[in-house]
Amino acid sequence: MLKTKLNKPNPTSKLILRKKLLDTLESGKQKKLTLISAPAGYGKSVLVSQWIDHCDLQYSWYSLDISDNDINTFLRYTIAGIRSVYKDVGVEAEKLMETNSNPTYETIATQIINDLYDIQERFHIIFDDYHIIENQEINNLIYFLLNNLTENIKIVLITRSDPSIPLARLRSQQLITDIRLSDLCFNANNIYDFYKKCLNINLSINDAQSLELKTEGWIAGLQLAGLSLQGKGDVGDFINKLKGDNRYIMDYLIEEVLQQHTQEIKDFLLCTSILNQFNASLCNHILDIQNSQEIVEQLERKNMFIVPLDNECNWFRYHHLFASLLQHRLAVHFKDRIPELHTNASQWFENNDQLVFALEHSLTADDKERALSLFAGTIDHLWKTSQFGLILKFGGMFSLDELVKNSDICFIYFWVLFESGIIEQAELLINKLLQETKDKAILAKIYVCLNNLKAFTGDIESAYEYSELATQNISDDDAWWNGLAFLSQGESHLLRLELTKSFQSFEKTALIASEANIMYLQSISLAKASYVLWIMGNYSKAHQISKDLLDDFKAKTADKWPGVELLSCLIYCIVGSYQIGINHIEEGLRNTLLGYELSKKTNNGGFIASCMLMLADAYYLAGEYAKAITLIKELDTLPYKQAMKFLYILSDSLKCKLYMVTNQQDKLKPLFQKDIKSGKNHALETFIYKINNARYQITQGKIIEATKSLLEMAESLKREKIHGLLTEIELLLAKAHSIIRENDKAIDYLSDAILRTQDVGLIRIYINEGTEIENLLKECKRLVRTTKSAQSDKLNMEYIDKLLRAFEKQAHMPNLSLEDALSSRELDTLKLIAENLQNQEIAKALYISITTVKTHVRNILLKLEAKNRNEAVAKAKEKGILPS
Amino acid sequence: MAEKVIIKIQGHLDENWKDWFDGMVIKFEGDVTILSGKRKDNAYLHGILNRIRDLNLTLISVNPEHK
Repeated sequence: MLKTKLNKPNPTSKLILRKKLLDTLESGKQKKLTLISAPAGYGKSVLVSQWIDHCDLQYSWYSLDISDNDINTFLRYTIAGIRSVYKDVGVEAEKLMETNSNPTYETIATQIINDLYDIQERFHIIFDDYHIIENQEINNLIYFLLNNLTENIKIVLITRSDPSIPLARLRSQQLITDIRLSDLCFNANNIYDFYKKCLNINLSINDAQSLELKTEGWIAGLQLAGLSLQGKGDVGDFINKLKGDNRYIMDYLIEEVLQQHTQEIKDFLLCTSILNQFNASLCNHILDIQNSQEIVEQLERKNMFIVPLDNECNWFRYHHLFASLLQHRLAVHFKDRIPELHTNASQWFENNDQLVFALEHSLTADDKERALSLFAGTIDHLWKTSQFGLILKFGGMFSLDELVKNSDICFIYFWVLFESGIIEQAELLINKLLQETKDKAILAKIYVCLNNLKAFTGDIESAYEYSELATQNISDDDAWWNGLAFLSQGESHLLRLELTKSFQSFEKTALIASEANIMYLQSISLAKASYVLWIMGNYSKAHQISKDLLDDFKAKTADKWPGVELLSCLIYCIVGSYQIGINHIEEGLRNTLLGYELSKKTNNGGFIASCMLMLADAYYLAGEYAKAITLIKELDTLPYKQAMKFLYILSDSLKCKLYMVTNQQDKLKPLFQKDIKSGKNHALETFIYKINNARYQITQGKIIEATKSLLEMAESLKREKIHGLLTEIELLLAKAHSIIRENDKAIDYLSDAILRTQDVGLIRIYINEGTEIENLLKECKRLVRTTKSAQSDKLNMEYIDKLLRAFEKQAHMPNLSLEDALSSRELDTLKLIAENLQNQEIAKALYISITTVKTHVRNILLKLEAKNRNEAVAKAKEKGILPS
Repeated sequence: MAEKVIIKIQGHLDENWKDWFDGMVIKFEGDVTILSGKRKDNAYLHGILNRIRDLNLTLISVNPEHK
């Protein structure tokens, strides 16, 4: 972090005070945004700086450069700036950013907004050179802040072009103070004062007017003209000779100004112009001289467009426009020297432990070898602090041949590519590395990468091979790599339907992750472990795992790390699915929805797609088919769904079920014309496909075919103890036999299914199989009453009654609608209202702004048709939304 | 996309700024400097426009070339 970027430039006392503009600024103090928008060299930064000093305001100052287009970098500096004034603000936000969970800007910003809530005084967050920002996410962040910060926190944007935020809307709400070109340019009076006070030149009033006309009040031009006037006898004559256009003046004047200096100073100015900021030591190093301190002081005295960046006068930069002019001259006159200068700068930054700058300069110098070693030195830190944008940027500047020279770079860059969904590039990189290396430890990691990649894309033949290689070769003491190796091994086993092995692998990953406290791996592996147990029919343990993990997350993150909580999205969805399964529909949908909403904030394509699928499945189980179909169609458009085999299998299966219950024959046919590879490697896909096919055959009346296929599967599932899928098959067998009036057999199968599910109380998987199952249940109930057998004794009558009641309820309410129900956040708000919390307390508890709380409250009142908060709570209890 | 673009700016810009306007030809017409060149893509054009902004040049117009 470069502290100088956070320092307000201190205008020298010699500058004139712009009283009128200061009044304009101060009179706009009620407004949220101050926008100073004008071209270079009109004194924008100086004006704001004077305003701060003159009115003694609290502020944070952040001078942007190109590297600040990364949202994480931007947030980091913004927080650091605010913390230099209020040290308690943003502590949690900073921690959150270091968790590698890639939280969204909204999560971070919400933290900051809440922290700033307690500040009572007026505070200005100032962004200088905001035109540098091209990343729309940062514009959105600024807009988010403007909408959510409390009244006394102000934002100031200093920029050369208007920012891409909805200015018109803000203007119509009277939230902007505007300072523009026409306000900033100097008139003849200003020019007169400026020359007298700052440059010690006495102008006649005619000269001043002439200068105003010719420079159009452009301050930088006036300053240049003043500098080239130094020591000239006839001021009037010089001004008369000036051409009347300030663009030309600029080119002409810079030459004039440079002429006045010795060769040494000229060299210094030109060579140091490559630096965004400099101090004496850095200048000494790149020019191989000793007296930089002296030169800098001299330049500062002469007002040579040099801006001190800190109070101690250690760091400086040139005025941007002046720097551009110098750089141009450097390129015209000493083109050959430029790479050497950058290399020198790179060395200095390296010696001073500023590796990112060192890296940037070495890349500009085109010294790839050096750049690569610097990249290697810094990439681990960038990775750990989630600066994926920078890793992608730097990584993209090297060829594959260059990258594979350093395996550490390759691995981190690979994961960043992989997680960002740039799968092809990731694969090219890792294959190249595989060709180039013979080192065993490196090979082991390559196997892990390849294994993850192959398992992800469903190339199980290869994945399985790499999985064996990876787990055999990877070193035990490296938790992250070890965990990943077992994670993808579990995935391969799952796709091969080797569930016990798969579960063991996921459990092992979870253990490794929990010991090393890697929450990311832990949540993925336990989510998967829970899924495996589910299809094995070990419902209660599956539920227990996810419930424990959720409690664990809540305990660790209570009031603290909402970003880490994002990782719990998968777990919320699983817990929700389970609740729906046992007919706790409202609660279940709420949790699943919450999980899905959380996933959207993680920016992790895999999480989003998985949670979307689970939500669609939840809607299917709850009988809300339209919503499920909408979601499953949306899932089709996600790139991750296409690439990720496991998701692809499950979403196609859900599609089959949905189109069957809604009887959309035209859409079903293509789903059963798929060509599925046979063999162990595709066992999961084959089974799930066959089950749906049998379900389809039953609706088509092809009972014999369906039964044959189902029986075959049942045999093999029994052998493998995969009881979850078996239950589904038994229900289908029961249904098939009841259709051909073999009720005895049908009831046998149904009883088998009931015995598996009655202990945990699964309800919904019965409901969607339709009336055949309902009728069988009724018959089953009658049989249990009238006949005694070992089998029927074990059946739980209460459970069967519960199933029948659920069927009845479903018939009465064919479409349970949540349309008008409260959103999950509204419900959270309502719960807190019921606890008698005030808006402010609710905002804090839910990490949202007070404005958002108010919106929620308004919606709650509308939806519950309540007049006030008390009535809303009463009505909610009446409707069973809140426990009474 | 690969049509030509004509950018007019106020005043006379010295020829040696050519490097800063990658691939553009600099001509003068009266008091106006005319930059012309192939419009490679949007990013290219925005880059040129940003440079005009950062050098504090007054932008008069941006047009496709008339055939």
